[in-house]
Amino acid sequence: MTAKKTKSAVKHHHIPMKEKEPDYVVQIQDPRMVRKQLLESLRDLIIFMQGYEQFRRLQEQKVTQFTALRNDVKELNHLLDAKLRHHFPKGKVKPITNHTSKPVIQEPEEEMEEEKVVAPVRMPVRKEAPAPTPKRNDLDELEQQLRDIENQLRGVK
Amino acid sequence: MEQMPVFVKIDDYNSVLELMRAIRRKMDEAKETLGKINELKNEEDHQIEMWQSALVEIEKKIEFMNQSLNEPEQI
Repeated sequence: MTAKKTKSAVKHHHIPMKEKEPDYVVQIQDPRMVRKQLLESLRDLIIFMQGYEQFRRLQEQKVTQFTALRNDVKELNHLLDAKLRHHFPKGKVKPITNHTSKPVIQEPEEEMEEEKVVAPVRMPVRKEAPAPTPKRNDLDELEQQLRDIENQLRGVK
Repeated sequence: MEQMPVFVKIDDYNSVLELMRAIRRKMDEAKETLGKINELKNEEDHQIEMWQSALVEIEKKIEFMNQSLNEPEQI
């Protein structure tokens, strides 16, 4: 019993242990150059970080300038719209508004009509589509008949 | 259609002139501010270019060190 216990204990100790990797020795041809490159890289990175700080400062300045520009434009708008416009006559704009209002009303109607026409065409069921067309044909025929009768009546008169 | 000359009556002409001067001053200020913004933008662009070149240089150096460690026989 004791022998078994010791064996299992030994195995248990062996499993988690990793085998030590062999040490590699790499010959560096130009060690001074490698060291120089490493130090220069570090120096460049520090300069990079300094540049970031400078960039942040520039952006803060830019925000300040944008705010100033916005205030300038606001003040200009106030001067032009509220003060200068006050000194000039407003002028008559009624004819322009009348012209502009008419097409605005007409356009949506046309669009609505187009939508109404397009809607049945897009319907996937084709059997329903012929149903309104005969009605239209019937109407057309009736209208044609009416016109013929009216023409005949004119001839009679 | 023949265009007719239009005359506008201005009650307080001097104040209008003063107002125009104020508008021009404000316009100059706005232009100056915009110029400063443009300068700052150029500085930012310059900074970004410097970053780009710095990164390229660092990449070259890292590549050299990598080559020294992985393929020393090629150096």
